[in-house]
Amino acid sequence: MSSRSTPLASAHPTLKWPLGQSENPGIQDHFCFFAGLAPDTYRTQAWSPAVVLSPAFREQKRLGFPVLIADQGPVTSFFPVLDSALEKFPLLFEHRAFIYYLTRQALITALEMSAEDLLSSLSQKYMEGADLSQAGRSQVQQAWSQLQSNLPFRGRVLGLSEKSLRVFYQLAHQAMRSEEWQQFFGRLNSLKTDLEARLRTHHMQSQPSDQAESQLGQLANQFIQLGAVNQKVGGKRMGSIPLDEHRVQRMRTAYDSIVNFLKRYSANEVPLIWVEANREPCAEAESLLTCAMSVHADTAEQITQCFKAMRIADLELRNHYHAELHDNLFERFDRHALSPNERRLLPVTVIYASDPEISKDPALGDLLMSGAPIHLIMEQAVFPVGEYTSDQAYRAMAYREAFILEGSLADPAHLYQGLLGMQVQANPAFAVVAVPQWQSEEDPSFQVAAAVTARETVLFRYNPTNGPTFATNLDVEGNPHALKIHCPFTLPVTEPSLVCAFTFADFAAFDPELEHHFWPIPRDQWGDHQMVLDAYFEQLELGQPDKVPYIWGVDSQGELTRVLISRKMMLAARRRRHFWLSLQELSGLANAFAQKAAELARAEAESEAQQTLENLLADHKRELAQATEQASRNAYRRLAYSLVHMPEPALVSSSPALSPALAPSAPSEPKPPAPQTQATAQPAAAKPAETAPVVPSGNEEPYIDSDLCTSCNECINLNGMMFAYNGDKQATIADASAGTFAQLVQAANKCPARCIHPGTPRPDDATATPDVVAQAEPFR
Amino acid sequence: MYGLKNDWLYEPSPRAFVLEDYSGAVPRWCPGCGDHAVLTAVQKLCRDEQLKPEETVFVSGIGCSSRFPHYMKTYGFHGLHGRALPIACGVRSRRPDLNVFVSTGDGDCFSIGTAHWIHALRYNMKMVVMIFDNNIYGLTKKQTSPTTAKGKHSNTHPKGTFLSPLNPITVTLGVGNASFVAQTVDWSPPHLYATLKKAFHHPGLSFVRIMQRCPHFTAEVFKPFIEDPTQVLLMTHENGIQVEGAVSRVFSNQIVHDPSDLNQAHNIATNLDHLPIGLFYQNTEAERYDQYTINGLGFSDDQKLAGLQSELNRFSI
Repeated sequence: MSSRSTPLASAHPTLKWPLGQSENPGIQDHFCFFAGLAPDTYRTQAWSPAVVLSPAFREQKRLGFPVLIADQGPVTSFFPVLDSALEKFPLLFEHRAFIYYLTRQALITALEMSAEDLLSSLSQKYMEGADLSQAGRSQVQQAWSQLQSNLPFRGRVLGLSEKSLRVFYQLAHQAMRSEEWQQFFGRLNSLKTDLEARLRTHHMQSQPSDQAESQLGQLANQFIQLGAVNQKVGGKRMGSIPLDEHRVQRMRTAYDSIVNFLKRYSANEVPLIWVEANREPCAEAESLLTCAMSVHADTAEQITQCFKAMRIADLELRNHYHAELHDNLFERFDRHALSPNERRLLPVTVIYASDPEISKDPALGDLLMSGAPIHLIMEQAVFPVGEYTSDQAYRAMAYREAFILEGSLADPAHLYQGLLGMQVQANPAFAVVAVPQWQSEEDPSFQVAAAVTARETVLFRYNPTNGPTFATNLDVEGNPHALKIHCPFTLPVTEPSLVCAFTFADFAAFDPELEHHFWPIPRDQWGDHQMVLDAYFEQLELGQPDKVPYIWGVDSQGELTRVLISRKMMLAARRRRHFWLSLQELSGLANAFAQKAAELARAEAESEAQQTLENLLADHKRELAQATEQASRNAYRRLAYSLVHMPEPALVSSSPALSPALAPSAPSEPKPPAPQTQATAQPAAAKPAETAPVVPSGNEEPYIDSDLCTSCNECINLNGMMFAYNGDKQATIADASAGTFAQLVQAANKCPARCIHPGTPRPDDATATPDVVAQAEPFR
Repeated sequence: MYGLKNDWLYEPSPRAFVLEDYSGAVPRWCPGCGDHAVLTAVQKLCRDEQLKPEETVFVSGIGCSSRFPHYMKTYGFHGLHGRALPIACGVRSRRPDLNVFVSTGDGDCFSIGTAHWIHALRYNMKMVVMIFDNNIYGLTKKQTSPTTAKGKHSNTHPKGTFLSPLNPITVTLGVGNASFVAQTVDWSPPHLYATLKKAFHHPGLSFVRIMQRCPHFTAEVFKPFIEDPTQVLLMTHENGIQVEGAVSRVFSNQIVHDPSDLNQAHNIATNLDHLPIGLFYQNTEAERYDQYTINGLGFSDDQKLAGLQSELNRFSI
């Protein structure tokens, strides 16, 4: 890079890479387009995608294979299960790496084995391969025997190979259909036996007894009683109604049809019809899918005849067959007349095809809408990456009638569950399964795992029987970090660790075929005009960023380096990102409408709460103002009362100058009662209290020291109009005119906190008797 | 489909609670009863602390006081006679996130519930225990309670009670690990409120004895203290109950008492010349049993089963 005369930074001012700009056909779409460099000068330094430094990513490469498909359980990775079993046998546990090796070897040839057979094979190979002393051999032999006799797991063990998908499908098919199939066979056998008995009885009844005896012979007749035989072979109350010729004919036809079917199929093997390109019966067909549909129609016709025979046999055996009704019905009987349970017994036709074969076949829509149990399985190699994904499963989902599965060998549990889901369908099903490129140098496990992590392969299931919408039918569970747009990975090369997004471009960087889309740049040419790809996408959604996207790489010295990507690669990565965003929304994981509604509801709730708070504060402010005003009024009143009732000599003696000053306020207040000792000395001032109660003049309003109120309800119960609680649930005078002075005094007497002050009576209050006024005196 | 629910979940906006948010049924206590004052003070405390009603629980036993949970619009547990405290301890053990209050009376707590009273004090689980002490069994109409004054005529002692009353404060102070002991009166709402507030913020069990008037059966018992506030001894200290000046002026008979001084607390409680109010004793560092009972709260059923199994396996041969 140092030899380059035009550093990238100096090229930046002329850098234009908007999406709407047409590409320069002469320079393809490489970054050289904007860097001003000749196309053959890029990629001068060796680099690798930075994700190889991530420990978590390396862990992820270890897939579940070989897997254990338990008899009554989920699919799990086999080696951890084996480890837990071997832990009890230290001798074997120490050599588990060797046992792993033997397991892989065994599964290369056998593809899949039962756990018992596999253990037996491992035991044998181990004993052959291990170099042990006689004593050690004996101990190890004993350990293997114990392990086999107490096998902690049951099921089938399946290795990773080119045929894994096919074996997976067969196991799922057998698991889901064999029980029903065997029940069906049991029913067929039962009908066959009953028909045989009925026909035999008819045969015996139709022959004269002397003929029968002559046939059996006199001697045999001594030992055999025909009546008893009849009863034995009949088993049921058959034969009481004689059969006419038509009935016998119908029963014989049904019987033949059932027997033929039983000869053709086996109870232990659920029929499965494989259809592949270039193989019989569709070797010469122009359209593989059309051919498969016709194959299915033929097979369905055969089994439909068997169902027809079963129904006729059943009616005849119960003597319920009415010719005038049923003849016409059975003439028109075809596969469309089958019940849902019967349709589930139709042999499945499985089409095994590649992406090009399906892409170019015009009959895909017809097949997906056919309603027939035809399963279409498509392998899709994820490596080499390529730049365009057909998304066949996504397109098939648009028909909304068929069960759709997009799976990957990277997640065997998800794949097996999806294949099981296909088996319960009576409708067409379409599975697109990501498989590795077996001939590639890249680790097959890594290929499929990285494709899932990069959203190149999106795991999803679409089941149209769940409901009417995508949100009910589409399930994207199983994808890593499903709530995020890109899967994150951590690079422990910086402090703090650098968290990056694993985009499609990071995945494509592993493909040597695509190396011309990447350009590592040395550290001295890093600049602000470069932006990491996932951030670039976010900016792109807001507008046109004037930046160049890059991904992280690691150079030959193990240092982080920025790797610019071509515009075409950016567009491909953006396409995968948008594909994932669409699926997130369709499945309800990140629904933009729901988010908007939630934001709206949140805003409404916050606004409502804010309004409530403001109302409360306003109420509080108003009450505070009222209380302040009331308190100041009371204070002034009490002050005025005190001044008015203060003995005049004291006023005069203490502050003679105040006397004239008080004079102006006197007219506003009623005159105090004429003191008898106005002109006398201070001691005489106490005399009025000793005399008979006198109604105090002046107009003192009643009030309550609300802070002292104990909320005991006494006053409220006395007069709920006059007394009321304030915001602190403490009593106040709500309306003094709503009651009498006597009530005020009574309330003051009852109040345990002694906080009610009745004031002075109104002039027109007839209840203000001298006695009442005297009772009020202590509270004033 | 998962995911949709996440979109719809959002944190509700902060709520503001007013007094009505804590007001339950209309109280059936007699007019003039001191219980009304306690109810109002507690409701104000809840409002001022903005306690969420759904995170607050009142536990009671039997008696006038124990009708308290009905009148609060929170969770409540009207329990058995004398058993308010063990129920509250149970609630606290399993739901440490709740604000636990106990309302009980002198008969409920000091008589049939004595054993629970002593051990709840010792457990010191965080809760506020309010003793409505009216010196009588009021709900069952005037029977002698452990705090009934000597010579008081009641239905169980028509000729007067024989024995001197129990002193709950000295008993409580005598229980090891008691961490908050206070006494207040219902007829001074500011002091009552301040005491309950202090008790609520105490980290352990707060024992608050509230001298509560019964207008029908023991009106004369408290009348002297109401009419003559100087018979009430107000304990003051910077670490004690902080009250406003008006209360301080009403109760002019005062003593400075440090709540960490247990000996002086005993002396004040033993002296029956006055009715002491305020904080006798507080120790915020005392041991708390609920710090141990919260262990294992986050365990799932499977984890509990596995733990139990491992314990049982220890005894396997």
